[in-house]
Amino acid sequence: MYQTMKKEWFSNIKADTLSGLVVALALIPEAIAFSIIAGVDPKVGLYASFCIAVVIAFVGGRPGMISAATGAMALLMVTLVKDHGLQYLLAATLLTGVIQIILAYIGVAKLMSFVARAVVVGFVNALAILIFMAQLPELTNVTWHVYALTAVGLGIIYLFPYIPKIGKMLPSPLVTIVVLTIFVYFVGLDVRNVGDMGELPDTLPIFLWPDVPLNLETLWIILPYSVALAVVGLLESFMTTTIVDELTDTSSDKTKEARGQGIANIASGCIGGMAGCAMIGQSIINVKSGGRGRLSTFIAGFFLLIMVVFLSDIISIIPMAALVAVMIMVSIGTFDWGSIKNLKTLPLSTNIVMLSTVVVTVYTHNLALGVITGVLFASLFFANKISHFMYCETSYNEDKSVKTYKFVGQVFFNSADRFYDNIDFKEVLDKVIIDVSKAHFWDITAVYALDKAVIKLRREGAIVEVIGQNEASKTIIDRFGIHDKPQEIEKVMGGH
Amino acid sequence: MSYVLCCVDGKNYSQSACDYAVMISNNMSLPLRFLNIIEHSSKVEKLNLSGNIKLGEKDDLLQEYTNEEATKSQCAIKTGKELLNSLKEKALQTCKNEVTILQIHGDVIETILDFEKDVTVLVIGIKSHEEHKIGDNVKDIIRAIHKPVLLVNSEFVEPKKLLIAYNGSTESKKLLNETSKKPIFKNIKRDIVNINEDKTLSSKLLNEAKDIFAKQNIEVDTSVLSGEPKEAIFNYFEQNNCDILAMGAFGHSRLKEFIFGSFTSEMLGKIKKPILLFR
Repeated sequence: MYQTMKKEWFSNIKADTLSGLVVALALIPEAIAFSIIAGVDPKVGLYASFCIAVVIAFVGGRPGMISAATGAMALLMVTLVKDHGLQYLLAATLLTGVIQIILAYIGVAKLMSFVARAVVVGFVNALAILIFMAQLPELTNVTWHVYALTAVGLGIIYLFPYIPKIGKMLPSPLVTIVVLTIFVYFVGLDVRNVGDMGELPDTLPIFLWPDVPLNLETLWIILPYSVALAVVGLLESFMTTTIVDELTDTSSDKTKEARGQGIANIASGCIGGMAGCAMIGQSIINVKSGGRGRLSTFIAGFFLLIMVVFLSDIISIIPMAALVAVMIMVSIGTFDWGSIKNLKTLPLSTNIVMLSTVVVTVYTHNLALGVITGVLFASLFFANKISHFMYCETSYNEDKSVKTYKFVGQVFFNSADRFYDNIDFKEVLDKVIIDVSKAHFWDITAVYALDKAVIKLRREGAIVEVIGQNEASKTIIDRFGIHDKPQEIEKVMGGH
Repeated sequence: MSYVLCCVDGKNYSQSACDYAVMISNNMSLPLRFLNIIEHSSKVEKLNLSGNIKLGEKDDLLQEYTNEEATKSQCAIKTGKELLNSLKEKALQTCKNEVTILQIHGDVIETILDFEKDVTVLVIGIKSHEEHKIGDNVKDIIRAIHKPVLLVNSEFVEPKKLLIAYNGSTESKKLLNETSKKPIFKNIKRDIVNINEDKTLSSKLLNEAKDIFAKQNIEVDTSVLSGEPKEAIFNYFEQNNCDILAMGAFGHSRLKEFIFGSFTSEMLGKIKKPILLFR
């Protein structure tokens, strides 16, 4: 216990502290940007980011991962905030946390194995696209100044690190924000700044129970949103977990992470924050900056709040163009570029799964729907591939009165028809032997196909013998099968 | 299967630890195993605070980290293997029992804990005499391991005199019973001391200890000490030219473990000779 705690918190103090600061700076634009997307004051996102990062530092299952208010979640809240207001969002945030804790306890982490690699890649790419698209409102119907500022901002972000020495010591997103803010302030350009977007935090957060009527009606309003938020939050958190695991060559506890996300969201809802989850881009920034332990996450959240509360006057004059530049960087960094380079070499089915995840997500703005689509496609492709693993060999005895069908491979819903079609019912035979010793019956569709074949052969006057059911097939046939129970035959055939 | 486990990293008195381990293996007629742990540190040395991420950043980072760590690991494996082989060769010259070597990836403490079950005596080399320089790792090992540990912090000398700090508790009495039957050291003079303001009680405890050893035909000298334990033990140790200090630590509370780790590391810094710890 003590060992683990010490290792997870204090084995990398210097780098964790510095990387935490870097991430805190990058979190501010993200929290503000996604508060605006969700249609709430920036302070809702900033309080949420502080609270989620600090809480998850203690209760999360993946040290070094950054969680806060995210775009994926913000996009799901838009209609709830528009139709019912902030208080219902806070209530939905609490419920999201509760759902996530329940899901953690019923073993949701194991379900991640159903999410194929291609779906994960699609999710990540869709997320990157959504983050980018979320910046578009700031870039439409504006003067050319905004474009120029954004372009300069991006230029600083990507070129500043090449400056010897200080390039690797000062976070370039910070330099961008500072330079653009000073420029706009002194030149007096009339462009939108953070202060125009809504209220910033001016005090430390206080405990705040959502002001909603506690009745079933409220529940029915928030439940669909909370379910979607819980699912998307866990999905992005699990995927980020995998990425951080991979980068740092360490392991994590996904169940603990799921529970931690739940606790963090409940805490966020209680201080007037919106729901959040792990962030792929920020976590990569953290790892790149040297963050490995829980301390980095804690510092990120803690300093975010300190800066925002005590520097709110300065933050309010940051031009939105600077934040847009930072967010475009996050979007670019989140995108899985390797997946695009691999498009040509990967099988078509994998690409379809990936692209369908992206398309559905970008169209619906709901990552959960994208993932469900991806998983569905991946499963169908898999079923299709496996169904090819079945063939049939036939042989006769000397006088051609006994025919043996020998089936090899997987028989299930997708290959059951092919199984049935392999049997020639026109032939006149005394006896038919169906040898399934090398076949595996997976489901009732398969069993039903066998039953159907046996019954049809019997009706045509042949004696049918099924031999060599392997153990697994046997259990399924025994449970669902009817062909060896004569009294059942009429029931099935009655309809013919 | 029980054996003597000697953890070596090449930096911290590994040669000396090897000599002590061979001696203990011979004394107890137990096989000897050398273990080299390839640790993957979670500490990041090279800082890049540029804070930006570009297209394909994740893949590039992964590539970069993989290359860095591959080189580091290969180097660590190579030096570790050379060390193990040389120690094995050296040990085989005098060791009458089977000598095996093993390399493993992992965290030092977790790995030792994995092996702990079968280990009879653990021998570890420690970096420095100076108290404040004694690694956190050593303190953590002391706190975590529940088997006899010999902490080697100096060059090997054939031990002539063993100082046993004895508090007379039920656990330490039981321990004395066991170790007197299967002594870790042979041909050694044993001095048992008890630090106590109550002289009569102290003498009684020490007589009990003496009897325990007498049953195995081992002679021991006993003395009652008073004063601050650290000072008293240190003074006695110096004045009587002792070579090894044996002491126990019982109680399972985390606080006690914490205090105990510091006590041991302070003693290590003071006496500059190996300490045999019983848990």
